[in-house]
Amino acid sequence: MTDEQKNVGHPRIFPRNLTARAAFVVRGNPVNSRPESGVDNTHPGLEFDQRNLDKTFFPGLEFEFQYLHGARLKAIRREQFERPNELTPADATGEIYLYYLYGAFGAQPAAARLVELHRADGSTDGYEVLRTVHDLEPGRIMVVIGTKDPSDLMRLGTGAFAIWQALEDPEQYLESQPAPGIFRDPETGRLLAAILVGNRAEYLDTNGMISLAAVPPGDLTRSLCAPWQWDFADCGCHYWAANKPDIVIGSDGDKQTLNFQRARGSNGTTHDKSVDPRKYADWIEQQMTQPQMISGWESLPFVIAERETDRAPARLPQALQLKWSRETIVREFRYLATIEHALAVEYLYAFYSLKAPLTPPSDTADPMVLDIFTAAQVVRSIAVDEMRHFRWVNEALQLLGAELCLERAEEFKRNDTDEQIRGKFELAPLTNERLQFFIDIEAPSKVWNQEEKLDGLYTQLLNALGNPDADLNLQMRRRLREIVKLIIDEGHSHWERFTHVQTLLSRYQPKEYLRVTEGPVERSTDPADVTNLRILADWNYLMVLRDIAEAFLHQPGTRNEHITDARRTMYNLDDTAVELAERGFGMRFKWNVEDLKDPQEKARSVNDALAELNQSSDHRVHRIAQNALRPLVRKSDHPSR
Amino acid sequence: MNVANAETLVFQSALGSHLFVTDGSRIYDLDADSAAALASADAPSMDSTLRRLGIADGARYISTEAPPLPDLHALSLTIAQACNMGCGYCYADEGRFGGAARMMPLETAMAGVDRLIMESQPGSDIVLGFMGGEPLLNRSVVHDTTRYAHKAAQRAGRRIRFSITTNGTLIAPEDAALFAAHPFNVAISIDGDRAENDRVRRMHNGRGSYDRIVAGLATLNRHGRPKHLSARVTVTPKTAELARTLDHIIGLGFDSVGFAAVLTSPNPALALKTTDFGRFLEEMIACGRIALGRLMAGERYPFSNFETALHEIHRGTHRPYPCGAGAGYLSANADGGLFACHRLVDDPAFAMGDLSSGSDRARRSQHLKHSHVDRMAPCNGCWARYLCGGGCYQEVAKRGRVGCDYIRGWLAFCLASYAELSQVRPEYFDGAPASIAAGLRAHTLAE
Repeated sequence: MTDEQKNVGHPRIFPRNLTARAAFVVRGNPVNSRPESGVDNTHPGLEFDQRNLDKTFFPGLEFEFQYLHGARLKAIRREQFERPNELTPADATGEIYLYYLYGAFGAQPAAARLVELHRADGSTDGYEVLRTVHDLEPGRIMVVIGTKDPSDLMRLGTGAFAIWQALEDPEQYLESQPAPGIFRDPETGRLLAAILVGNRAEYLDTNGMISLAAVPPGDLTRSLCAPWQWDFADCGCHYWAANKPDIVIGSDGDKQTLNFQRARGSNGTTHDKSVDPRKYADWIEQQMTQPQMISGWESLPFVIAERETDRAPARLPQALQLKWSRETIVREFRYLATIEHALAVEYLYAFYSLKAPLTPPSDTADPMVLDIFTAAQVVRSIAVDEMRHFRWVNEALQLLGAELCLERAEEFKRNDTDEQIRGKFELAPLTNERLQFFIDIEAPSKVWNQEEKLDGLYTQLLNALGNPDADLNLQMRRRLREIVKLIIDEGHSHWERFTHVQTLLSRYQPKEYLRVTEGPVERSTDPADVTNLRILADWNYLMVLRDIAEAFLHQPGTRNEHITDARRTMYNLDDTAVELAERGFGMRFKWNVEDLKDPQEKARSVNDALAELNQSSDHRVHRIAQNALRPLVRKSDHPSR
Repeated sequence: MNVANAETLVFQSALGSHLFVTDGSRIYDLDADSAAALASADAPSMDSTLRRLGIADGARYISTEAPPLPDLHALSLTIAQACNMGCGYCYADEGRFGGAARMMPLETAMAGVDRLIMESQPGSDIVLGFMGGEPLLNRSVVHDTTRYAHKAAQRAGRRIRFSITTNGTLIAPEDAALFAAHPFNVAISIDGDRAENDRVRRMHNGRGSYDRIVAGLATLNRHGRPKHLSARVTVTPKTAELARTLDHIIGLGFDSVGFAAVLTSPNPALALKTTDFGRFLEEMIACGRIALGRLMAGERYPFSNFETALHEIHRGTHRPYPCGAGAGYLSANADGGLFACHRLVDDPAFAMGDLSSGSDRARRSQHLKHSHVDRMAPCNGCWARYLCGGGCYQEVAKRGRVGCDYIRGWLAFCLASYAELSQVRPEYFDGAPASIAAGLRAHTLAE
């Protein structure tokens, strides 16, 4: 024992070796039980509810922090007043609110200031009041409390003057060490207002313990997540994210605009009034209260794919197990890769055909422009989804040790071995017929293996991957199934999103929203710029595919260069496609899978096109040519070299 | 003045009073009042006194129930039941263990490797020991078995270490190379300087072994030093001053040097009598003091009995058995029979299966159940029982528990030394240097 250890009066036992140290019983609470290391918030609180810490910030007064009304006086404890006054517990029964608070706040502790906390128009937010109070520094403070209705203050007479004077110069008021100002209705004796001075209560005493005077036992945790429905209702941090959707589609509706927590009638009817989620006050006004949540949570419906429903989702029948061999699975993945590639390109063509601005229009723009922009963005995002699926399917092929498949389907067949052709690959503008075709092909299958539908193809594959005899190890099968499931899940939303696009565009005439009105037809009368832009666009398309292939072939470390290249080339492609579209032409997406292997030949023709574009007086075209000429990270195969 | 009962020992060091709590081998520093209270507490009130001091809460570290049978992790092969020396005290009776001299065939040795792997935990560390007699009399089997075990362990996902206990007189360059190429702990038996050593440790032709040991050490230094090279010094009533011997042998360049007293011996004159323990304790403590001084000064002094005790005390090692014999450790004789340990080879009372059909788990479990130190007398009344474990099974079986006072005296000295060293040089205990750690492991096999 050290000298220090020896010098203390009561028994000092010092654990010396490892087992003694491990067994040592530490007296007192560990540091992680201290309030300052607590995880505290007010939704309603994880370790303890911060609100309860500050509700007695003014000794003698106890407040409740309320959402829409601020700090309401809940109780009066005469024995805690620093200076005796004639307030009685009965005075707290009226609707008394905290109006003003004067003191120093954390941001600027040296300069005290007056804060108004109860506004006449009722716009006070309880959180704001709580934060303000929580921020209040220890020291002398002044509070003004009054009835809910500010016009009551008109009846104060000379009392009103005293209050205004204090508010004019609070510092001076404090210095004058005034007696508590209590103002009552002269007829009824009802408390109308009071102005009090005191020391801000500190919830930790000098030993760093929570002061029982400030916070009686049980107080800190009394409003925690119990019952759980309270927290479920209140949670604003999305802790309950998985089982508490926020915005949903009604069971019969088509728009995702309803508050999942909206109040439901006793006969199960709901407020189906759509609200603008940007207007918070509207949003919560129709919300179930906490008591309603406690008694009514069981009436909340299930939400599946954003839609409220009382049905459980259909499950795949277990009986049928497809017995595909590894070769068959590989072939199917290869086929699906070609499909995803084809869809991505078709959807991109459709996207470029829309007359949408490049950047989001402002809120005040013409609703038609807004709608077309939204529709175009949705189509583009679906195209991006397909690109992502194309990449995932190739990742699956890589997992299987098979070669990548960058090819593009020319025909949509049931599957790789089906002879019947159900559709042909086509580049076409997004007319309503075309849009309907997209909706139909993306629509969920009526039966689990409905082969005309895209998800049917994947569901079959998912089933086949469950075959334990398929010569795939368990880990690989799991990973592959994950990939396929993701694709299926994402695919489900395509149908709804295309439907949404249809709704948006149905209000307008095609000539209002289309800038490209036909497929990529080439005519001898086409301007030279257009011909060159087409060549460059196709080149960019080829390079994107080549960069993606290179990325796949490389390890994570060196892969990034190729991905960066691919991204930059994609931007170039985008610029070129947009340039063409604005002139009314769609890009051809013309390519030859052989060109992928040896782009040098191709490069020559592109060189000429680039050179001409570089001479263009149109600054946008010039910029596009310049971008194409800018050195890529990998310098081989670039047309300018 | 140390005060002891079954569950506590109040002991003194240069720092003051300390408490050793048997359960959990916990050590506390005490202020004068607590020390007085504990020293005067009788057995019934001890528990409440400990509780009052915040030390005991009723939960026990050691259960009276035997633990479940552990997986095997160490096996020694009596690779040669024969010896080229005739030391009078040898527990193995020149390797014959009371039977005929014989060599372990390679197939049996390999079966031993297979058995060890089979009965050990996947991914675990395993130890294969070569013992005897003199294992290097069966040199080719040692080499072949080592290589086989290396490959087999790799295939089976085990991390294997090797140990060999040898008289050091037959070490050839290729042996040195083998010991260096694989993780070997080599333990050489040597009893002192030439005079001391050659008094008892003689070749069959009567010549001394010292010079040959020194030559063997030179071979090791030249052709490959093993991971750990330790010396085992056997102490008889005739052994000269231990401190001098210790110093001499450390000077020969060993990584660690340890003493083992003879308690059972074919030649009874070479076993310690009860009256010899007093001097033995004094001399061991004398060695310990020297070692403590050197360690306090930050120097190295590899007196393994002392260093092992210090580290185990620091960790608070507590166990109701003296070693892993019959539990995680077994020994195979030249015919493939399994026994609790290398000292009990061919003793039918400690037979525990065989290499081809496997260890006798029932017998091993029974052994653990039976040998729990809390079931032994006088152990269950001794404060040191979870540090000592009840004493070597072979010695206790042959002779009974004659060394208890010595053990307590030695441990009490080590406890006090620990208190002082951990105060003056706490860094000594942070991450025991490799030689200590290896020595600790070696200790379990080479004794």
